[in-house]
Amino acid sequence: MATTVLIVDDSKLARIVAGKAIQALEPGWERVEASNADEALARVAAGGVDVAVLDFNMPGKDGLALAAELRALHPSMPLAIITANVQDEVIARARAVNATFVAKPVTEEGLRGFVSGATLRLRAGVR
Amino acid sequence: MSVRLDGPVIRLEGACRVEDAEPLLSFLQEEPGRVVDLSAAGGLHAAVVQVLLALRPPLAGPPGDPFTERWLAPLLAGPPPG
Amino acid sequence: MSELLEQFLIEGRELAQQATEDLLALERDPADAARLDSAFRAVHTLKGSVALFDLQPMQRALHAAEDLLDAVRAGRLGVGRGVIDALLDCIGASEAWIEALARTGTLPADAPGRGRGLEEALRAPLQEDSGAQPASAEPPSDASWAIALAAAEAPAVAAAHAAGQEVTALRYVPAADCFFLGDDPMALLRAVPEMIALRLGARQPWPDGAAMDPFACNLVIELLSTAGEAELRQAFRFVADQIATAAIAPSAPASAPASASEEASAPGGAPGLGGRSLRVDAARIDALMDLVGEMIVAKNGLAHLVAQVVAQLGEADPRLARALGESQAGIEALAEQMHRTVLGVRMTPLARSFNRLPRLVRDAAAELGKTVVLDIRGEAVEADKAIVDGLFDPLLHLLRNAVDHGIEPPEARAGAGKPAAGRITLEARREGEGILVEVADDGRGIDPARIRQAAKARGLMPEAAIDALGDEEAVQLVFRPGFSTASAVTSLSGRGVGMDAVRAAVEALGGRVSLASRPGAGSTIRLLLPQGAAVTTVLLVRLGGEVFGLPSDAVAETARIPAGRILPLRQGEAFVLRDRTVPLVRLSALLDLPGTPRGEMVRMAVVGSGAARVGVEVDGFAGRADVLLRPLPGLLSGMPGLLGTALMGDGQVLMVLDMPGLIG
Repeated sequence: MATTVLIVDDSKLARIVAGKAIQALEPGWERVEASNADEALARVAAGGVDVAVLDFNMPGKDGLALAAELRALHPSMPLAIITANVQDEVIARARAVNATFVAKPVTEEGLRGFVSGATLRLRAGVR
Repeated sequence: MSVRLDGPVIRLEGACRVEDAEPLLSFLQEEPGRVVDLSAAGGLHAAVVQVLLALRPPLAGPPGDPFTERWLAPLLAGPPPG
Repeated sequence: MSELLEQFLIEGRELAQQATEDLLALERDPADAARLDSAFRAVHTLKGSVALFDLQPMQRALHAAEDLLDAVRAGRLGVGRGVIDALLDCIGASEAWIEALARTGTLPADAPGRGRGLEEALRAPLQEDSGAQPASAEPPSDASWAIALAAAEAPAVAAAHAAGQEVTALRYVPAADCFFLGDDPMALLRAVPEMIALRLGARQPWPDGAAMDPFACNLVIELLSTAGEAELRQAFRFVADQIATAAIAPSAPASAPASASEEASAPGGAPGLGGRSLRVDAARIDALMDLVGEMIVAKNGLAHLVAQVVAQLGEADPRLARALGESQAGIEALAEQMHRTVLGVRMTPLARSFNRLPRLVRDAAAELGKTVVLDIRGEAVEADKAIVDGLFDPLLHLLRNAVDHGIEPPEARAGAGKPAAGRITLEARREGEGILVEVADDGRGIDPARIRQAAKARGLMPEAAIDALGDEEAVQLVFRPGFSTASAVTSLSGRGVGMDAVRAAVEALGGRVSLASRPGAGSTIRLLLPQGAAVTTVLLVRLGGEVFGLPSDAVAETARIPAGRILPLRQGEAFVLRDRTVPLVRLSALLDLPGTPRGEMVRMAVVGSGAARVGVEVDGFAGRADVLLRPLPGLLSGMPGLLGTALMGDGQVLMVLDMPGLIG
């Protein structure tokens, strides 16, 4: 079964950009999208999501809050937080849930590290 | 494939990513005397550098990548500090 | 990528609309946190989207807007009128730019300037915000690692300090599972600015080959850099919880690093000295300014050539043409930025010019048996050094005029119910983008009737025209060349050097002068000046073998008419321009240079406006140029009718003419 990555961002433009970058790095991965935290949680609950890429700045529940919830449900799922501004408390929160930062605007190079690490973790067999 | 065995020499080619650390370690563990050739290697992921630092294999000539040559080669040369 | 652009246009318009609604609501109810949050997110998202395309002015403006909103969200700043205005301006500009992108695919040509203005307005409230940078919550660490590192790399440290650079040490211990998160500490190291030393160690002793887990990070990274602590931390901001920094201060033998919370002291500076400053010889700044001036001229030449090449090349090799155009645009932007930066270096308080005036005024008053109080305000206002220096002569003249002709003798003042001491105010303040300098006195003012009489006596204008002027306009006649007595020239006494010299001097600095007066109550002269040395657009005209510059502002239009249509008029000549008769003079005559014989077509620049238009005949036109006008030192040096000089790209000096002064 192909690795499935969930892209969560309220901006369709940003989802397109992230999708293209992921496709360039891992053409074999399947991509699914959600535009807010509730949709994301619903999609993950439906099963089959292996990796998630979350925009930090979303209305309602922000990317870090979503990451914390996903982390509680899936202790080893590779999670990336996409953000432009990083403040120290935000970094600390991300570290606390073991999420990776990826800078905006999202590029192939910027995502490469996360994708490599995610592949590594998935290979280690823990989901 | 960024890590390949060419006779007695382990050649690292292009940019070496995190996953390349594993085959590199295997090749070095199989035959501790093997020489590592970095002349065609690009950027090395920290995991790869770590393996080289821990095992200190002999290097076949200067690395091709400028950063590696300037900053890492001096640290990889010679026996590990006591 | 047009799918991306289309999506951007759709989302951009929505985000701008959302932000506008949020800001307006926030203005009505500053406590509405939800609106504040929504506005921040809209601006943040818009900024992020803009970053996908190369739209620097828009991105920078939105970044400033985001910072401002962030400061408000964090409670560091209130939602005042100024804040809302600046943000709404930014959103408005963003909307206009989005539409421009939709229409033409690029931002309009004035975008950089407009963006800068928006940025300044948005950052201004932030300047007063102290403590904008949250200190990183790092446990105080013992800096023994830094001492050891500095000792081990002593040669590199010494070399850096000898070159006047500060040295910062950084220790980075990545988390053991960082590879699974996608971190690559090596990649971070490659991006470290100005690294001068690197050491790699192990947190735990390296296991022997068999037991090693290649994916558990065991590295301890220590490095030295001359980039400065803030910049260095910036490179590691995503792993800020895994690093420690320390400043390595220079000192004799054993290099002792300061603790992580102290600033690195300036090399060779006394301890306790805060910021870094340099004393620079003013001549060096002038030389730098000259270079900038030449660069502006050169970039104009380049622009002209690029336009030609693009026109010819455009079809054959559009990619190259476009690349050329972009490169040239990049150079334009850099040249402008350089100009502004160097101007910034040259900013000086007006006090430099004002300081010498009180004593001179006191002397002049004493000479004339009058008592005068000179009140100076705003001397801390800053302007470009050239403007500050160039103001001294005109101001001195105006003040002496005020003392001599303005302030009445003590008996007359007593008779008019005024205090015995005359009062003169010299005040400077910022006005919009420029500076206003006012000289006001409470003397006798200017009598329009006397001005009219003097103007008639000097034959400045037909008498009927003089009579037709209103009182306020009549007073402005003092600025006309020829109003002052002709014997002019050497001393700066109240007589002789006229207001037209003041006008020319102020205009040469890029400013304007005006006069208001109430008979019996006093006069006020207002000088409106730019803050920085202005780049003047000049029309280049040929005369004989030489080229002269006419300020674009002074030229209403250029014209070519057949020689046969020149008519004699009184002692001179005239021609008909759109049903009106306009006098014609030859520039050669005005400059007292030999004229060349007329060809079939007569070329002229029409200066002045309305009934006061005059055609100035030249041999030909040589285009336009943006130049840095250097006013003439002192009011009186050089030819009358010369506004200043400018250096051309080929090293020649261009004389820029003062048209009102020449024509009179």
